[in-house]
Amino acid sequence: MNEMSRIEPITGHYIHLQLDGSDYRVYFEESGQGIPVICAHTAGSDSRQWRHVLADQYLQQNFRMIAFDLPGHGKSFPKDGWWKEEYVLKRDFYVKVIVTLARALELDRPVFIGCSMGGNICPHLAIHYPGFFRALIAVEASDYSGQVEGAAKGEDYSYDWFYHPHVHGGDASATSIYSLMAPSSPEKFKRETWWCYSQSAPGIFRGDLLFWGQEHDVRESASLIDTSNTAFYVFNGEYDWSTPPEHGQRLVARIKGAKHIVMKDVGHFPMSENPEEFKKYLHPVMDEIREMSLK
Amino acid sequence: MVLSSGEIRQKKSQLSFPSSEWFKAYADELSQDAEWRAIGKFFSCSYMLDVSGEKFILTFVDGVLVNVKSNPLIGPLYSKDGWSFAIRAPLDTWKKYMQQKPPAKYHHFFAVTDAKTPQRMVVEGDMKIVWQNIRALTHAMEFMRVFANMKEE
Repeated sequence: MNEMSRIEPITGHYIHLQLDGSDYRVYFEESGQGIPVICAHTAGSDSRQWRHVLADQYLQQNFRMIAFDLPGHGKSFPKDGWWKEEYVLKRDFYVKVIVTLARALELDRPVFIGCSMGGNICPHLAIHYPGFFRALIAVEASDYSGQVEGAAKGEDYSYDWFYHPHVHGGDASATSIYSLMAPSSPEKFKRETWWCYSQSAPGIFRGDLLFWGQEHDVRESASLIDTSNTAFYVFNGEYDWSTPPEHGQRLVARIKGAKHIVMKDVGHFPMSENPEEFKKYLHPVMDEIREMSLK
Repeated sequence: MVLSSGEIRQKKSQLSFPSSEWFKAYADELSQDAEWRAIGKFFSCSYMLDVSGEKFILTFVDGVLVNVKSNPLIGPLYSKDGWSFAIRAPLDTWKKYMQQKPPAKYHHFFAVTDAKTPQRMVVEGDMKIVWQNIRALTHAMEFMRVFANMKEE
């Protein structure tokens, strides 16, 4: 290998998970050693969003970071017979995938970090599996996104456009999410985020949004979360118009002991749009989780 | 006096907004933009931009602005000589949107049209045509900010 070439310290694997009586071939990639951290991507994208975090040498020293593709995303195929059903992500399935993956990999009280719908699943993990995770980091999360299909942008907008046969779903999904990033984030990384969105299968982004914007609603239940054995952090970027900091603040206000971190000059995809800026906020939280784990 | 291309560019961006001259100069610059050249060639549609009630119909054919009609007599929606969709906002909103570093919620076409954005931009008309052209349309909209902030080179 010549001097300019290099191999990143990230390795990929396929694992077979049994979920609801079906075999799922799930892709994940990992780096580092130590406290396990499961990283979850946003709606309509895949684990590539976490590449900068997995490649971070500081985090690699103390954390085993695992980024997975939800079935139907990235390199994880959907279940057999997928073509006979309209794709809609359901909360119970999403929770099951995460917990089944953690158990299959024998992860000891992992940290879970997820962005957007990956952030919105955090309170559900805390409610349904209390104590299973040592920390939950909900990035660009809210208590309720309040964007019901057909009414998300007043009269202008419906998730259905992302799956309309007269519209290019990849172009439409990628172009719309580009707007959620901050003007000052590096253009190269914003376009990389765009690229991953343009590659999701037809209907996947729409089906994920139906969990993110409709089924996810913890306005009544978030107060059940016990942070004495699972630390709970919520991050929100200033330029995220879909889940602005005030939405994250609403979630934090419902969870006793939760912490809110507002990130300046980033949007909805901090880990992929501006990884250096994101790490300034993430490192102190990961240090805190590590210190808690040493006690 | 012969002006350099940079001086011409700066003079163009100082034209008053909104005006037919502004949109024509903006379209001249857009036609030279590398990304527009890569994605704009199938962009053919007419749409209205409404700035505090002052109206302009822009007609693009194959990525080229062929006509700007100012303050037209408004015909019925989707008429052949009218427009497919309209993008409306108060002048203040357009100004915020076109700032070099716009404030959050005004930083992108999708952000400024979101229901949560105060004094938001509203899109109305044939939404299918909007979504069919979304990438080129969005770039054309975002290029308004680029044009408004062009400096002498």
